[in-house]
Amino acid sequence: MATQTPLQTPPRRPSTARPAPSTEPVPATFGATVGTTVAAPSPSEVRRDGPTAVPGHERRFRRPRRLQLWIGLAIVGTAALVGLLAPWLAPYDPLAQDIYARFEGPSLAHPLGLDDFGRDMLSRIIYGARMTLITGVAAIALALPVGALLAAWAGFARGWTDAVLMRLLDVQLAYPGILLALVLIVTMGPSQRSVIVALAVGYAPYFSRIVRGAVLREGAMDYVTAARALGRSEPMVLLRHIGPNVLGLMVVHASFAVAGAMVSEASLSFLGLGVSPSTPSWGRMLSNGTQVVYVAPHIAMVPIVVLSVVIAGWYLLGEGCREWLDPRRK
Amino acid sequence: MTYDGDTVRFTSWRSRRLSRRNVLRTSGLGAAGLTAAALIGCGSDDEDTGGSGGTSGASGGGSAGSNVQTSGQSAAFERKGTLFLRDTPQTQDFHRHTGTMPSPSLVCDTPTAIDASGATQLFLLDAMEAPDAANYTFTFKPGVKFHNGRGMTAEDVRLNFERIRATDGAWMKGTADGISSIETPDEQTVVVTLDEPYSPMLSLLSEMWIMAPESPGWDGTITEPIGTGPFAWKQWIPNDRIDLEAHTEYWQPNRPAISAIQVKNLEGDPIPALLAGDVHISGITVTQRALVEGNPDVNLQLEKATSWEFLSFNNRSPRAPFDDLRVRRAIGHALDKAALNEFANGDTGMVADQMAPPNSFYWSDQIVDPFATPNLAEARKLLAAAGVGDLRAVMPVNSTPAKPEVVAAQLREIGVECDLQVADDVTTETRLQSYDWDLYFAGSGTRSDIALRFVRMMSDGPNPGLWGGPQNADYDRLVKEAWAEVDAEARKAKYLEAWQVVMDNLFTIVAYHRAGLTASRKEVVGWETGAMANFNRIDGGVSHITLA
Repeated sequence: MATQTPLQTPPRRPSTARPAPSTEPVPATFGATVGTTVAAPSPSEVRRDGPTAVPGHERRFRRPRRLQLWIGLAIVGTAALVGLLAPWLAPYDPLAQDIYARFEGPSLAHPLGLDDFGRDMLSRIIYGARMTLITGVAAIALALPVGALLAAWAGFARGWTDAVLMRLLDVQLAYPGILLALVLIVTMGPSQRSVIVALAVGYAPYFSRIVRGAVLREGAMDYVTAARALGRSEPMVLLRHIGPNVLGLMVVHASFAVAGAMVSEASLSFLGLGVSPSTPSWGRMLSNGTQVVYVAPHIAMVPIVVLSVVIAGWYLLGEGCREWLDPRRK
Repeated sequence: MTYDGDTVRFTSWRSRRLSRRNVLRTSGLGAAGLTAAALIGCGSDDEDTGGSGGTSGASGGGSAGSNVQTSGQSAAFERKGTLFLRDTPQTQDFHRHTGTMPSPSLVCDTPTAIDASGATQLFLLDAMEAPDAANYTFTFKPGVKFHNGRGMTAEDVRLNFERIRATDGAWMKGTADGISSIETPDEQTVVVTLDEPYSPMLSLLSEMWIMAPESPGWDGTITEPIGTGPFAWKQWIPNDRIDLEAHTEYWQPNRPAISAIQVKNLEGDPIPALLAGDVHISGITVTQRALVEGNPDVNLQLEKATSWEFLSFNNRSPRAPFDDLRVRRAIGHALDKAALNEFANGDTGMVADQMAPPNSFYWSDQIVDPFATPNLAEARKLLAAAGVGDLRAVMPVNSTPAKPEVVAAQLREIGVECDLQVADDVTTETRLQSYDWDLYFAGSGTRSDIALRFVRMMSDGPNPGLWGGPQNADYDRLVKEAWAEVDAEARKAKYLEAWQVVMDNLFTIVAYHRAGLTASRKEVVGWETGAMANFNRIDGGVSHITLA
């Protein structure tokens, strides 16, 4: 087979693989459907990695994508590990204040400096990892199954059930996410649990939309028809045949959504609606930092940098998972 | 002010030097002379001519705006410039506000005023007689005009008293409710009789904003106040600004010297607006001070009165074990007032244990602060004696949780975990009134009379939530006895007895007193802070400034 130049488009032939994951956008931030999307592969991507790609090219181009996965995994894993081991890693009590030393910049004793309450920034970042990650992951862990079940029910039942459920979810999607979260948190009272529930309620419709599309698509596939022809019950078809094929897509979107949920948690904490004020949370730290940004910029900069890196890590992880789980890339 | 036997007789600093007739005569001559001087081109542009500049409220025209000639003043007198102030007013009905506000003083005057030293002076009043603390005869200055041009009369004052009395939640309602009769024997005289002796009356009149009954909304909520103050109200755009223009017939001669004021509703950090010249005068925080200190364009001043901040217990329906005095004392011993003061105020605050600011008249050196320095060992011992291990305290917090966070960290040292429950101001206020909490860290601003502080902890006091709604008959009795005292020293003694009740029961623990910081642009000439947060007052404020 002759090698192809980038400008040459190879003739497409019917693929036997399952289609690429959905192109529906995932909210980069709560209430905003912008940011990273799982886009359909471009012709050049198909050219490089599709069934017609040559083995040499595959090796050359796949390595960076795996790199994304590993970098993402490393960042997220490190953050998770730091959060998990916070009591052993943090050099100081994250709540202990030294009022007379507040605003102090980085030093050997306090590598990231002290905040506006005289609390050790490094210790708060370490404990904040626990709070921020738990909130983000828990919210998506709650939103994903709820959204997926609703979608599966709607996609499988079709008819009025589908129409009513989807219109209701459309209505919720039309409602600004941050406002919905504000209403829920004010109703339930500010706490980590309220934030998790509010974020989960906000994210569930996105998963419903994504999963419903995938279920409908998979439902029309030959292997599903074959399963039905073999006498499998509908729930069995859904669980045993369609489910596994949709799972990869859900994992990819979930990793993007965790990043979005972390940003949302930070936003809510920034607005004073997140966790209790003293609880170390990156969003809360950022909120405190902006109030004294002219006096001690490091107090805002540290959480901004950490939050950015970890969110980037989640996106890299999601992108890596997409590449890894995409059957057409195998 | 003078004290004459059993009769307290207050006369204004101006009429003490000259009788009304002399003032009128001198003013008339002065006005004629100044007019003549102006005609020959030799008029003075000195706007601060004290009592000899002209007749207050003399008739004459003149429209608002810049470069307006004012009747009764030097023909050469010119008003220049627009002053930009910062405030966050929530109403233009100055009878309905819920705390001391700076903005009303621009539009309205009051019968009395608090001067820079904190003393009560006559303002719209020309004289006042009070044979005891229950009967008052007020004589108002003649020639004072509302912004609509009508002269203010005793009947207007009576209607203001009546409106306050009939308005739920009005700032002076408690005082007005105590009035048994109001008579107006002539156009300038108001005779007020109270149900009970009430000596703070005079000082509190400094917060009674006199508005014309024809102000739109008088029967409900006033939306366009018509006052007698140095600036006439033009418009209010909620959450944006208030536009005011100079009152050309203001009774104080050659005032104001600026042509207009815009009060900007700026939330958050005022420093960028201050540095850019978008705001001329603004209160700032201690943290923000570092950004303007040393800046040649900005002057900094401390306010001359203090607000106080305190940690209150729920006294109306305390939950165990916070009803145990040993637990309350333990919490007091865990507080590090000095650190808290350093955090909140830096060098603009003073650690305290009393409602009155240190070294003020009502302060007592005899009272010893049991919580002057933290004593964690004693605190733990008290908790152990009360049989309390780790403890959780519900602590409502409004939208500014920083100081409660510091308190929470300090109490954590003795095993008291504070559950800081953040909500907006209105929700927090509602929460406080429902008394389903344990601790609350709060502050209360400057007041014209210490009575307004003591009244808040009375059983039927206004808005008692901040202090946990104590209901103590001894305290109520002592405060009422203090109010009945005409003699200041005797009154102070009663107040101190009442305060001892507060300390014995630990209704609240005072942390510190703080003086606010005010920053003003260098263009503002003659600005000095007063003992109240008002923008204008009898001996200073915006009616006394010029813009360079």
